Amino acid sequence: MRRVLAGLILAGLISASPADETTNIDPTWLNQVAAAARQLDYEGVVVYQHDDKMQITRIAHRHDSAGDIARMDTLSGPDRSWLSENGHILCYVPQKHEVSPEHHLRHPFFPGVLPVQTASLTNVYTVQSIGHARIADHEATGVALLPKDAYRYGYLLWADTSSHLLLRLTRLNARQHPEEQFSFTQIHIGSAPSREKLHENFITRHPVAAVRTETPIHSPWLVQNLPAGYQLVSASQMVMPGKQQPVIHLVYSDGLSTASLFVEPVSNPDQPRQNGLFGQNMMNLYTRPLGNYQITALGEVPPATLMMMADSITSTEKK
Amino acid sequence: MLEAVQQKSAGSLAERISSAMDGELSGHELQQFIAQAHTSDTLEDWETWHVIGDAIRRNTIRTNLVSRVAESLEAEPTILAPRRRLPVPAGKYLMPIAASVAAVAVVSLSVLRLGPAPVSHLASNTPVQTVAMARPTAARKSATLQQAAPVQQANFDQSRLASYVAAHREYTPGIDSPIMDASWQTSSEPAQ
Repeated sequence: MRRVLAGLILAGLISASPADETTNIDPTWLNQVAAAARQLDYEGVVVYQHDDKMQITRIAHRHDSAGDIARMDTLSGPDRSWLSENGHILCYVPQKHEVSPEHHLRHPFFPGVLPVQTASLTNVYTVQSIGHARIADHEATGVALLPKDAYRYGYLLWADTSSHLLLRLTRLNARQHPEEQFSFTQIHIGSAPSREKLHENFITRHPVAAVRTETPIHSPWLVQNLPAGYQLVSASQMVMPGKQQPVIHLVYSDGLSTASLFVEPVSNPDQPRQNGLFGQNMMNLYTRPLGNYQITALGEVPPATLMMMADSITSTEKK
Repeated sequence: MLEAVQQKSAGSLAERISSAMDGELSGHELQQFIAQAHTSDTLEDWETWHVIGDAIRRNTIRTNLVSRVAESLEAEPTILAPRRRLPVPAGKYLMPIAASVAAVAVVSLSVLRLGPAPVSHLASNTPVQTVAMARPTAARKSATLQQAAPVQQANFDQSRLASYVAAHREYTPGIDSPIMDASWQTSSEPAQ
């Protein structure tokens, strides 16, 4: 019974895609998709569905002799704009009439979500064609990246067949069920607004101080047992509001799936310590005490990944 | 004949999983079930039932999403109505846990908002519901999965959670800036 029902759920997903697409995926396809988001000019509207919410954002990207510039304006929810230029991200909140500089440079904005080096992805994901679809009035080619083990979730990528620009990204949960999706609903590829136009509202404003900072460190804390494909991509320490001692933040990623580990010194040893697993939709959280520290792992990865990492983290520092 | 017997016992197990999920087991029954639930097969069943339950509870937007995944759309943009948040039973997010882990509290974080949310939502919403699972003493009282009393110490500090999620989201694809979420929460600016 269980298998039948689970099978039905899977069949629903698979049968929705053209079954005759058995052609092999060009190994360079993922590289082309990764490059297209960075190198092409485009402007369009993206719908982002996650949890029970939907957000609509206008996205423009320009790549010219002066470098990369991208702008995002929300069309639903709180009115906000972001400008990403030469590695700096600025945020504009109309109600506040101010621009906040954001020193966080890594945040990947859709459609620039694939790592520059995509080769390692094929070690941990099975790449599978899922056919063709029409997305935002463009002919799109679909590819599924399905996990080879239980330490990550799967993805569906749909890219414009001719330019390779990513038009839709769907995150699958443990049951290969769509859980979250970015999708262009309208897009022009090959043209973008001028730099002046993209700077609108940003030049005349005075930047305000960043709220929170993370500084890169050489971390004494490292995870000893990593699931296949995961690598340390960042180690930093951050000052949290109301906390004396900084928290160490380690980020491990396989290129698409990412887990964060936080090492926080316990300020009050008498406080009850937490040990448990939390979850909502795709976001899981696992926390446990370790000596005078509290280890917390979280991310849109299976609980097994977080537990494996958090349970094997050690410090090289002598206490 | 043997097969029939096996099927029957499997059937009763499935029923008990179903009852446990719906909070219909008594304290004693639940304790028994939890002891039995350490076998991986049971956990697999458990998870499958939750998936099915999730599937039934979900309404159109999910369904739309599924059918939209691999289907070519006839016309875009498609207008989708936002799904209303349904009350979530405390046991909904229970996950299988390795039997070697002595005590793992599984918590449904109905207050965990991953997107930008006004301060009030993070701070004053319903308390985190907790189910202490693997330690029998915690399940000793007549608590069923749905009626489990929140365990004070398992309430994850919400401001810490917000900081962690914001810091994490810097490294994961999203539309919203994670940092904006953080400043949003600390500046008490209304989200509307």
